[in-house]
Amino acid sequence: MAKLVKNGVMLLDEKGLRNDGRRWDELRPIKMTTGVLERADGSAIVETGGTKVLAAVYGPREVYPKHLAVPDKAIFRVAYRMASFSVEDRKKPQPSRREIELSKVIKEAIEPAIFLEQFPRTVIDAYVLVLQADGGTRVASINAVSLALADAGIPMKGLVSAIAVGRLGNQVIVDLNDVEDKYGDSDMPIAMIPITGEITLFQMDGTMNPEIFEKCLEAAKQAISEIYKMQREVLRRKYLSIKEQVLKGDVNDIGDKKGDTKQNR
Amino acid sequence: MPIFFRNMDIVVPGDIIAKGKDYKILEGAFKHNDKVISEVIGIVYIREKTIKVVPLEGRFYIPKVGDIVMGIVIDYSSISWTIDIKAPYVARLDASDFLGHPIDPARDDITKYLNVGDILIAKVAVADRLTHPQLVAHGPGLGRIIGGRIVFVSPQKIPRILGKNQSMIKMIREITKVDIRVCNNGYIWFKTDNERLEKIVIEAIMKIAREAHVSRLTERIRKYLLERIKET
Repeated sequence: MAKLVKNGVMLLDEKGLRNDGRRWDELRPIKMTTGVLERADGSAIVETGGTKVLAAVYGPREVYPKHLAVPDKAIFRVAYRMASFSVEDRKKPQPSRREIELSKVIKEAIEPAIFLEQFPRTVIDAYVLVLQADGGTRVASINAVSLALADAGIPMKGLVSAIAVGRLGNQVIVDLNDVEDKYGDSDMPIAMIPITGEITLFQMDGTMNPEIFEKCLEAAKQAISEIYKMQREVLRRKYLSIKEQVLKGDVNDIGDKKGDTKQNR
Repeated sequence: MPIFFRNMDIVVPGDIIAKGKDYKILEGAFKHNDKVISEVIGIVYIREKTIKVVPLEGRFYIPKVGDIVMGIVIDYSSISWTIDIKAPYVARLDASDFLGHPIDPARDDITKYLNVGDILIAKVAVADRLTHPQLVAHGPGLGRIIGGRIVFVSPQKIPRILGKNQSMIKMIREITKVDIRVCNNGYIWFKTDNERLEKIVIEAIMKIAREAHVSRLTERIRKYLLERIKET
């Protein structure tokens, strides 16, 4: 296998391993935790390698300003923000063009999964804060918001899972980190509702030929099903662990909202 | 027509509960092609051909006709009050539905009876998708409440706190001899002079909310209450 070096950065070595030592289809370590915020109706933290994202969901609640309310369904709003300390150079706290755009992208990726028509004249608010950015913040945000919505008890068609895939030369790669995102040839974030097979987010930066595109899509589907399994597990885990404790008979604390964590390695 | 979960298993949104066209869904699930899929985190109840998912998460309350709710007066007009019932919609309570007789706004001051900040228990008389809910607070067990303690739990856990045919709440009342009123919007009100007992009741309610999805709940709570009362 040929080495791939760009701008002095080794992207692929002779063995075909990536700059952080992963194989082409290997995901970074993922850690998901739900119920992390006491005040929010639902919340989650998702860590994908160096990327750390916190999501909080409120609602359904009354819409302010009132003229935004829709008579036959709820509206869904997403606010995506990056903390000033999330990147190496300080990020200005003012909402940037990119943040406003990503808020819209995340909203549109999740909206098809929610049964908004069950709550007319209300709003469901989701707030996303990127605590640390290392590539793939939008897909981590989608995974986090989807978990937070389920944690808030909001009826959904299914969980939404997302992953970024891309290309380094002729090599397809899954779950891009910051370096691959910057110096790679192309990247393609995808979100899906795995249970119905609907693709709710599809973006691409760079170029791809049809053959590589097919491979990328297949790899993304594979990764999404893995992430979906983890999301499902973390939601179930919370209740199963209470059940185990009760059946074992060692229940000491009396907390209603207590989250659980799931790690893939 | 396979079923993929056992009765009382935990499901999350997107879990395929069963396949087949002849299932009837009572709540918490939807049909996609011939699959029955859960839409919330909850416990699945399967009885013959009916499927129900009782949600475990959610702090929101959607008013239904006949529900008993606790609310706080947030505003008033000359003939009605506006009540916050912790739902996405504020509720309206007409003076006649609280007093039992009509009021003459020219001669009578409505704030004499209920003022902003007062807390009351009421019944939902009208609730639909188009208008604000309308309350009635005239009748036994309804009206303004004074003193006591209020505990809030997720409204989704209220059915477990009431129990089947109110068995759970009846049992708690019997053992503790405390007057407890449970409202469908998640508020539980009770009044006792015994501080120890107050703590025990709060702990029992929190225990029910936490362990709502584990079976044999009533027995465990009975044992817990008896043990705790014996200690004091």
